[in-house]
Amino acid sequence: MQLHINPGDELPIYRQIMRQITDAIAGGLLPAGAQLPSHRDLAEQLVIAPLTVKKAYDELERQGLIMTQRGKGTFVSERLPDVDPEQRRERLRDSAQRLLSQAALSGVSLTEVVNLLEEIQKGMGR
Amino acid sequence: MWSQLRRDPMMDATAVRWGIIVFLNAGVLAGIMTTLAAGSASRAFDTLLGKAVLAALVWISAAAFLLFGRARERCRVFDLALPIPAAGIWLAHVTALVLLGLIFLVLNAGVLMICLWAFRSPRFGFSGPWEALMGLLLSVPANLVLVVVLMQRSRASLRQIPRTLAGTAYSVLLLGSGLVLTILLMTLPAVAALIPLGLGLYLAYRTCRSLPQAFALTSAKPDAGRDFARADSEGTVVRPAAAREWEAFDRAGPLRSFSLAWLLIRILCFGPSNKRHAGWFFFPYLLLWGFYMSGFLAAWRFMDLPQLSYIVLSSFLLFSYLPAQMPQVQYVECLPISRNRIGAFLFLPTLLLFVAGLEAGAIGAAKVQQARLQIQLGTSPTSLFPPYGEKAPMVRVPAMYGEVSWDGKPEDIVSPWGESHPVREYALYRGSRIAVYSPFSTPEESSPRFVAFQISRAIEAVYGVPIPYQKILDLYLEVSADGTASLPDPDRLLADFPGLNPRGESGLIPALLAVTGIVYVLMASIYMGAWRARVPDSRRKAAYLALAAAAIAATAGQVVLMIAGWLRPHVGAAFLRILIFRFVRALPGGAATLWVLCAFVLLGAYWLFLGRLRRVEAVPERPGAVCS
Amino acid sequence: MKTLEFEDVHYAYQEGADVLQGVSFSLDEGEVAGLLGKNGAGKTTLMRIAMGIVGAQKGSARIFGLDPRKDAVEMKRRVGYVSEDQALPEFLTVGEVIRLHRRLFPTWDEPLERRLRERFTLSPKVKIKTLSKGQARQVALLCAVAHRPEVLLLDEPAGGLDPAVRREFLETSVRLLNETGTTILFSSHYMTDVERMAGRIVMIHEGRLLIDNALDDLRENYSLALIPQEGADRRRLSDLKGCLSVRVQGGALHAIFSCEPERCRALLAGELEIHNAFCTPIALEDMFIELVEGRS
Repeated sequence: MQLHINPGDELPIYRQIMRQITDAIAGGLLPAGAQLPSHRDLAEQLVIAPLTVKKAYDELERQGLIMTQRGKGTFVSERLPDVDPEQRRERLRDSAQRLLSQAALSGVSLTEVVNLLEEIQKGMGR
Repeated sequence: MWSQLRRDPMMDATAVRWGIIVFLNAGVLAGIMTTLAAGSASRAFDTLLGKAVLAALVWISAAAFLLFGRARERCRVFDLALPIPAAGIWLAHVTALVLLGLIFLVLNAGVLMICLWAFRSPRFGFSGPWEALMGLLLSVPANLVLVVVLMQRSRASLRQIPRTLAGTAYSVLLLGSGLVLTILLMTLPAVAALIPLGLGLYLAYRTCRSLPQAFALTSAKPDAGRDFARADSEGTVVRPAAAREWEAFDRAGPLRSFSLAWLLIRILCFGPSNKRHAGWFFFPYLLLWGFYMSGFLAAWRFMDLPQLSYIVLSSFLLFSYLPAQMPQVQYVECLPISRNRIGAFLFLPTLLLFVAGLEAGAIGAAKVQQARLQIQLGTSPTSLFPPYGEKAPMVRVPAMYGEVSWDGKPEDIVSPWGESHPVREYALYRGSRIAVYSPFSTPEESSPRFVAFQISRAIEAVYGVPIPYQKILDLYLEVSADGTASLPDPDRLLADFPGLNPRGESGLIPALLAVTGIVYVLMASIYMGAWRARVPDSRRKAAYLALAAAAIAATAGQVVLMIAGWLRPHVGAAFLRILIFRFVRALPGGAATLWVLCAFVLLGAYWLFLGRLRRVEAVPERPGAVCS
Repeated sequence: MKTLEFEDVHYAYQEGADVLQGVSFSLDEGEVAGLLGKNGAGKTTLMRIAMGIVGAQKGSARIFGLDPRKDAVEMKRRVGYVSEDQALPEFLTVGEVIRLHRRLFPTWDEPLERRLRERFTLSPKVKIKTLSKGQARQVALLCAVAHRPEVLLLDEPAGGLDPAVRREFLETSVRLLNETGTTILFSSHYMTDVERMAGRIVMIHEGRLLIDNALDDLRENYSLALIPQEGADRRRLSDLKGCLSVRVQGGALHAIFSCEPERCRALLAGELEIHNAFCTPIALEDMFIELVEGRS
């Protein structure tokens, strides 16, 4: 899969990587057990410092989303970790807030927003 | 027009440096001329060859700068944006060049004329080539105008004459033709100088009329040669080379030590592109200077040269290349090359070239001295004593066989038959009690027998072989009708007594070398002290000029003292030679030991130099900008 | 032992004009640090001191614990240096320059050299003075990198170059980081390049160190507050704990705080009763401008 980073973004580069990988895992683009490029390869691909990639990978590993096997490489975890339900909701608060502010500005009602969300979920196939 | 003249690219510190070089050259030339002319060569400048040589030396001093520096540049790139017509700029540049040439000419001829005027009195018995010089003062400017105009006519519509091989050859050809013209004009009446002048002015007028309103940086035709150097603007991207070139490159293998040394020489000894040619001109000059300082020419004409007077000048010459080399250090200081290695390339080239010339001359001089008898009988004052210009009959030997009397009262010479004559001594400086004298002097009233006696003593002193004076009187001495003795064929003596080798080396050259080395390092240390990142450029230029002034003062000062009658450099030189010779004879191992000592001194000087170099910070901005 | 260390470095080019007034920081092995500062702030001087080209008047710089002036040769064998104003000898050809470096650096890696010279499409017989600025800089980069240095000092290496060449520089540096684990200190005005490569940011302002933080730390734990000018007291704002600089721009006050946007908002509301502030994370370029303008 192709990752893309934007150096000028608000988010630090390692977080951008983390987010993209997390989204890919969540969206099924990275199935369980799929191999990720080594942090050196990814660094060369994205033209960023290898330590940055390593930082992203380490953080994802800490969260249990990926795991490294010595000598073999880095893979998506077979079993995704259980996340605390409270934490799960909190992670989405920011994006939800943004979505609803935008909806309010454009005059989109809450029901229409919910319809939109259902439509997208069907498209993601999970 | 005046402001454009002032802004001309040639009017920078280069002009000052050239001025110093010309001035020093003129001084040396004056020294050579007066020494040569005082002897039997006093009529030399009346012959065509003599005049040609004089013309060549004066012309080269006045016009050689046209080949170097920024003579090709008519104006700076910045000036192209100003509302000044190209014809105006062109004219201003030509005027600037001619003016500079005139300044150098005046400097050169002026120094010469001052020296000749100082020596014109009957006391010195020398009449200089006045008419020739005056003629040169008229013809050189006229030829200069013509040569400059002809040079600047090429590619007149460009801001800068492109640097091409053909262009350089053309310039050299023009310079040579100018010389030939100068020599030619010396044989014609003075008014003939108007011809080249008129021609030059006419051509200048034609060029001005034909110039466009503005200069171009480069001609419309692509093969015309580019004007811009990389520093000013961008070059173009080079297409990828054939893989074959890289293959050949890889096959050549690693850099050998010799090639590494040559690469470092190219970087450190031949400066940035616009000054690189100076090295090709300067290094042979150093060789020649060493050759001159060895005294070969003097030995060839049976003279002694006061080399020791020129020590400060020599040292300055050796040092003077350093300011051009220092900015090059920035190219290598990021590389893992030790400062000691860099120091070798800064210190040694000038010194080694000088030593090479010195040794070559010394070997040649030794050969000459083997082939000719080192003793002559005469009155022409071309040795160190009697000092310059004085005529006194004496048996002339190399100066180092003279004697020093510390209380100014040398004893009379007494012959076995009782004839005795007082010795003529020469005080070291006015009012001094120390005096130098030749123990072989033969005053006018001495008998031929006494002369033979002195000759015999001289041969014994110089060659260590005793030849009875009666033999000399009978076989070799010729007495004329009025009683004057002469030695018409001294080499016959040499042929009759094979195996006559002059005893001992004078030790002059190692002593000279050691002192030159010390003064050289002193000058270099002073200059390098100004080479720190915190020191402004002006301070470096000031240091260089101060050292130049010191060298000029040390040399010219002697001439001034001589004219004023306070000092006689030749006497001083003789004094030092005698002392050095005595020192060499007293040393165990003689001259060889002195050489070893000299080597130690030079090594010490080198070590000091390296120490100073270690604290230098090669200033990275504007390569080649220092003392330019 | 730190790989690259500056300790209380003082330097003045002229009497009274101090460029560096006590700069201290150090880099561990494998770290990549971006050196930021206004033109003339002393970045070039700092690198020159590290290379031993100039000597610090007070304080010291050390690479691998070696003194750059005393152990110059040994140190330079393991260091690569590319500078915007460092020129290669113009009259040499590309081949001669490469040969020279090959001979002087014992750790020269020939396959890497071959790779790079193909990448940069260089030609051995061309003289340096006929190359364009970008290509000459590429030659300099090749020579600095091909001996696999342990420390790389880059002083505005991409200054005046087009984006393609700049990207090539970055790629080469990343390669080097991957393969050799080189410690890199580079200064640049292209913030995007810095944000890509640097793990750490060192900013020099008026001769002193203003910032010495990890880049991610700056992104996450610093914020920019935009406050409408009426009703806001600049003095009280700058006196707040955690405020790094305040600047007036276009009718608003720009202030930088060393805390996340949320806490910044809370701080402003709590301490100064300002509720209409806009707090956001700050990009490196903006931080640079705010700090430099807001403190001078």
